[in-house]
Amino acid sequence: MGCSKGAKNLIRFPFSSFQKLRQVNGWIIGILTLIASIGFVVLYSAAGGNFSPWTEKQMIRFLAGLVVLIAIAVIDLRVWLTQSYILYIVSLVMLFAVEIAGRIGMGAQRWIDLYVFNIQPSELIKITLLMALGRYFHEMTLEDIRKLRYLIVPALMTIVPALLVMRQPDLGTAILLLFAGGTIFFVAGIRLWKVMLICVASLSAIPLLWHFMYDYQKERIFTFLDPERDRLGAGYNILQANIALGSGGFLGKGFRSGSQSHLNFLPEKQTDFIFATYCEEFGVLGGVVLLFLYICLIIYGYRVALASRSSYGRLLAMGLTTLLFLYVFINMAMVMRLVPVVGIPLPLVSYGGTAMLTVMMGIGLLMSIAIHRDVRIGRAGTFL
Amino acid sequence: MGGVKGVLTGLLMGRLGYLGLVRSPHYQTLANGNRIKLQIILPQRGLIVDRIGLELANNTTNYCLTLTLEQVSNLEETLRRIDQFISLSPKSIETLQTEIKQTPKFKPFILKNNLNWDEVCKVQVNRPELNGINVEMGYKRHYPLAFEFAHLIGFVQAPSDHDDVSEELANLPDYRIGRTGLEQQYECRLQGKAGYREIEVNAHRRVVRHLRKIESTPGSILHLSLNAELQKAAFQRLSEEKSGAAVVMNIKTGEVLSCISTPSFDSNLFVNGIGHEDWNTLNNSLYTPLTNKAIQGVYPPGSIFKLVVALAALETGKISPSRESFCKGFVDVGTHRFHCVHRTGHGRVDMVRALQMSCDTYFYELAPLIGIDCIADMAFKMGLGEKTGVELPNEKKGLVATRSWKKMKLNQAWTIGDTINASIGQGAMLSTPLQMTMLMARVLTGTAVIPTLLYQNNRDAVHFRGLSLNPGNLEVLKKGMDACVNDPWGSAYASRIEEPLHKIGGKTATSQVRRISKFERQTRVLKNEEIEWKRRDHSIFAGYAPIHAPLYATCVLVEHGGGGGRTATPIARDILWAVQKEQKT
Repeated sequence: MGCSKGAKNLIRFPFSSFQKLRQVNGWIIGILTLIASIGFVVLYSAAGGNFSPWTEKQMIRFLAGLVVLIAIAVIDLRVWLTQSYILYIVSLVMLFAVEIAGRIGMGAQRWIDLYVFNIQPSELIKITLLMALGRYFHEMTLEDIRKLRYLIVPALMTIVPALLVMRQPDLGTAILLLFAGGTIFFVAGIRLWKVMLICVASLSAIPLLWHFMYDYQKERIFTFLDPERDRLGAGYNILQANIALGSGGFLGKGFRSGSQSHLNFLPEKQTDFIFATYCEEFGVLGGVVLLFLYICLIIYGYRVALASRSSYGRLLAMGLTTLLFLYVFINMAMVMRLVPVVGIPLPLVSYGGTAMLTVMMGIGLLMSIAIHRDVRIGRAGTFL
Repeated sequence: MGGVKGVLTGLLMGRLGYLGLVRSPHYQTLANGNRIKLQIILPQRGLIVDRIGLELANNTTNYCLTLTLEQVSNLEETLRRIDQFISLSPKSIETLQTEIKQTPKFKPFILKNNLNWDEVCKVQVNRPELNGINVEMGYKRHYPLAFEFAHLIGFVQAPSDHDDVSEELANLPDYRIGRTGLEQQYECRLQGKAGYREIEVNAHRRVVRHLRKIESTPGSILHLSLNAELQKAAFQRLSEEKSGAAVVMNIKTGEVLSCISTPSFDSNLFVNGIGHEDWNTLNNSLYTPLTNKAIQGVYPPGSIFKLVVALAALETGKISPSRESFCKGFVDVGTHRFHCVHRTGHGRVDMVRALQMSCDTYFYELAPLIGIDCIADMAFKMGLGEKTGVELPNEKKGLVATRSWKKMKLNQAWTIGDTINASIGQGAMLSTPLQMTMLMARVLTGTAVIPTLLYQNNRDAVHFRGLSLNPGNLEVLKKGMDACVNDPWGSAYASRIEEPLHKIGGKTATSQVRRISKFERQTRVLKNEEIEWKRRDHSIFAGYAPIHAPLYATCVLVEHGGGGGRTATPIARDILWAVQKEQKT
């Protein structure tokens, strides 16, 4: 770990912007398009065979997202490195701002309207936290990392936004921040016993976390443990989702034939619970195909991380891959009642702009890392 | 890192397979349960008809006015417009509005039940300007001869919490179950088989489409042996007295042609739920209108029981019908004096004359000679002390006093005094008017006649078990009963029918409710008119017609009606006259 500080030969990055454009991985764009198309099909079906109100908007978002992705991908990784802290601080301030605005009651709006997308600071911070952590550990020697006091700053960098979003309240994002941030700590080379220590610490923090949780969040956990407890109330969503998913069988009920979603038994059929809508119509087979596509993306993320010569690139790629994995895992696991219901959408498939933008930005950064994999970057972000 | 993710991905795959493959049938059932609902289609309740097919219980159409909120543009205006030609009171338009808004938009709300034809027409004519207003048709049980048949047919009611009825059925507003009488007895047969509609609904319970429909099967028709015309006539005649019961039976087939209990009540009141006030009036009445006295009223049979004692004596073979007693008005047994109905005595009487004049002394002397066991055996043989088995719920079985009964009930030994009391159907003896009618039929035919309320299609096939009685002995009883009505000295002579083809015979009874004290005997026995109604004697007449070829048996009982010859017998005469005129088959 760490970068080769003794590198003598300074390599100028050889590509122009146009050449970089040609390096954008067409396979990955194809996989993204496939996943998004599954989303379009499900949204079209869920709307009773209509492009409106969901499919057409989602298509526009995806196209806009692709543009953002490519734009991010071609920008030099060193630019991202140098801007990491600023971006992190800006998003943290925005997070504070919406929190304060929300508390004052000046409109409970937690996002900024950008016509196609609504930007939520809580979404932005997922990416910028990883960038900031990446830069922090990038600038550190392996020896430094092993000293406990150097871990205080990154730990705070992770915990502060996590607590903030939890107060929003957005338990899902808080979990994503903690886990994805934790991954970077781990990859940066913290000793295993310290990771264990963090685990123990976070376990002992559960009562504290419990204290911070809102009643409805606690209710979700009770409901997860026993959905039959309140069939028509809190447990209704998850039970209906299970019924939808399970009743699909191996091949599903067929396109536009899902009774659970079409007769409105399944709530949130186009957003958080879209996986259930999808599996009801396309069965286990469809579910496995979608999962396979996500696995392709994740494997791509690992390959990018392993191929990158810079410490920043490796750390960030690992963090982003984990983030993507967590999105997919938590959403599917929650629909299948493996984890409690937290409001996390299925990336690229669920209707909604914010998560789509986050994922596209993340994949864009992954591509940027891939394109700039051979660039060696010094501790201060200088070219070596 | 990758390993953890691999394991978690495996977990997802496993769970997906578990839910979608292993548990799939279970979830498919649940999903269908979500979307497919069953709507029960109630069957029409079976008709109840009399012997010539006249409807005694039928189903009238009930038109009800409904409003479906989602089809209404302006609720208040619509309600006001309806109110102009159909009064929606007692509810005000305001309360209706709030009630309507509480029901689901797509569910019809019942504005008014039991629309008459006039109102239905008004709605139909004004239909174009009344969007969302509909007239829906249902069925309601109706009893055209409610008072006459209230006790026999009973009534239906909405199920209560105690009834073993599935929740789906109990929730249907039109669902009724038989509560009393034949409606209760033949509930299964009359109910029919419910059909259902399979409908697909969405999460808001709105019907999306109809999947299939299984029609209901109406309940089967209950064909009764009763004669509605006779029932009406008899009911009217008996209603002249305060309270009583009457039964008319065909002795060859056991068919009950008429069975009355007065006073009666309007069984239609119960169908839609009886009001508190009406219920209290019925329930607290001194004359117990809710009891079917023909099968649930138990009375001392009084002198009717003398037929049993006489027959028991003759059947022993030791007693001759010509055996005579001298009646001086009383018999002393030990320290106790038993009085005859005729205070100065009947003089010399044989069996026929004893029956004819209803001489108590004759039987006071006869009973100890044959013993209570012999009498009780005969009483059971004639069907007393047991339920007759007629097709009605809650029949009373009365009581035949025996040694073992007294030992068990009172833990006392049987005394000669008990036998003497039993000999004239007093003491602990109790029987229902139906049992007394059956007794009469058995005496006349010598077979174990069993009453039935159902029409016997094949009357030749009706065959009752013989009672192995000597026909000669039965003739003696008939002779006594003939003389009782048609001999100038008979106790029912005043109520005879003189027309030779329609002559009647029978036996009067005055069954005592109170005990006449020694003091009262010494001074003056109070007349019935002088004491309160509840303590007066029951007036009973059991008889038959026509005398030359008995076909119909009857028992008329007037509760606290006084002397048997005076009150019950004229009524019985009129009923027997009516049945001979009326009854053709």
